[in-house]
Amino acid sequence: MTGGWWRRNTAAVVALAVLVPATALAVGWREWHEVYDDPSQYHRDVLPDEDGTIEIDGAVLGPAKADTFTEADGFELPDGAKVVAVKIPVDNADLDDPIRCWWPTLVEQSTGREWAQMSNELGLSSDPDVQTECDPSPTGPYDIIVPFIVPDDAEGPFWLDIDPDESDGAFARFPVTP
Amino acid sequence: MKSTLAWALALVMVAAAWSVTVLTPADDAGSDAFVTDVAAGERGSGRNIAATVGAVTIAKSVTAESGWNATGNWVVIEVTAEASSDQVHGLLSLATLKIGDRTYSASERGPDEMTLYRTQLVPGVPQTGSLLFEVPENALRGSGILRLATSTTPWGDSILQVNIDLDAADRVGSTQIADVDWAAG
Amino acid sequence: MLWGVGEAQQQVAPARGRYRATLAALLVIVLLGAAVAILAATGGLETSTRRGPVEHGPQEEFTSSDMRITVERAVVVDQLPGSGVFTDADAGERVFAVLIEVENLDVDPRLARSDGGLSRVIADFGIEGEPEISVYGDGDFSVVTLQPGVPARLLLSWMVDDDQIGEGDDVHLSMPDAEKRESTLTPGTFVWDELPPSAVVVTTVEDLGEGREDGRL
Repeated sequence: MTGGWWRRNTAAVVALAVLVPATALAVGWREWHEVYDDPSQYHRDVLPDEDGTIEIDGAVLGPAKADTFTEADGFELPDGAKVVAVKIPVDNADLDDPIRCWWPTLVEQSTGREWAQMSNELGLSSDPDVQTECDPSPTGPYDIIVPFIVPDDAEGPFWLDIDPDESDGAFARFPVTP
Repeated sequence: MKSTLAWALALVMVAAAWSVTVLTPADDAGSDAFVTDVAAGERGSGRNIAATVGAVTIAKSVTAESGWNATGNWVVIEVTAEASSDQVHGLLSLATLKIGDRTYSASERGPDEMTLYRTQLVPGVPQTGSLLFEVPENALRGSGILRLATSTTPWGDSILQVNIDLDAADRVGSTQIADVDWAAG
Repeated sequence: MLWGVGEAQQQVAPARGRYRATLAALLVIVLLGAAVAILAATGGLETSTRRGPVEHGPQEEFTSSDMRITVERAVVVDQLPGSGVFTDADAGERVFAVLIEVENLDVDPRLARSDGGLSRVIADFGIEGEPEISVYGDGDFSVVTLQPGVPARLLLSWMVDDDQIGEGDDVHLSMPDAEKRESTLTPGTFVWDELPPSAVVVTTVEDLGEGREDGRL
């Protein structure tokens, strides 16, 4: 490859030098944009204000309160497990358009382990005072009470996550320590 | 000289193309990517499942605690399992037994409480239950490969794979299947 | 051209020859086009060995959609617990059910209601929609999976009106047919391509009256 070769192919080399990085940028930006710029892909957590409440999807949630329960409280549990129950008051601004959400989940902050509610297994699902999800037809403010079965080694602090059906990817995240 | 260089480059490119075809994983490599082999009786763990395979029983008739009963050629495998990290996505949705060239899926027959199949596993809190496989008579010998996962299409997710010795299994006329329960101690 | 050689050759070919070559090329294209059009209009190169569907009677075993199938009975009854069909006798609703024995001849488990599966059985007498599929005598209605090589007795059930079909009627059941191939979208998984039915079962319907509580016929 002598100097003559470079001279004869200057146009091609310059084109390459421009097109290769341009292609990489174009393809790369496209992929990045699809993943990071799409709000539905983004799961943004909303943390409580100073008073412990979170305003989301037209409702005021919180403050959240968590407690630990064991067999001594009348629950049938396997060895090595305990119950963590969390209570969250819900106050809808507009009772005709209440916040809707699926069952809240409990996340162990240190490990990321995530639990789902176990009211059925704990014999609480038929109790009318225990609301384990967002009430679709509320008549006023109410409390969501969610019990979780976790291993004894699950240490606080936790997060109690509530993902409303309509919130553009935002979800309420309450730090709780039972 | 120029011709030699051209030929050499051509050969290099052909070699490179050939090595790309050789190195490209097989079409179904995605599903085999994260298979963890576990011996029966030992606890194996994957991304979102940790399980131990217990007793294997071959029975002509199975009866649940509810009274539901079925006759056939049943391979009953006792399993203790928990999710590792995520209960919401921790449904035991893949449970297959491959004997020879045929693959059987855990039976959905009978009451839900009777089988660990499609039970939601809890992180850190193991449950014990049975997986029931209905197989043809000629499949009851040799060995089988049990696969467990918390996803039905585990492309790149964890699959626990356990060798099941059918010849060493207990053979009985009928057996009672205990409902799924929290693992003892 | 290469060092002046080709150019000389080109100049030698007469103009008339070039015209004839173009004409020949055009003729070939037209003939090929016509051939493709005719082939397409008549259904392609694959020879069709399919006649109409073969008729079978009850208790006759045949193979379709990689399943060995025997239709045992066809019944109409007021109620059939466990079949997945819930009838209101006061509204004149009844259950039309077909008891079949099926063996999955494939090497993989197969959902009974998968493509080309038993949910594609079609009955006449104005019976519409896909049937509910249940394991006969199991007493609980859930998803049915056919394990390879394991014969299963299943019920295919439809809701019908009480004057729609009755004792002595000869019902025609069109059986699904399909063949398995590897998915081009996700290699390593398989899909079933439905084929025109290759079997029809004709059987006489029995009226079982009120039916039993245990879900048996």
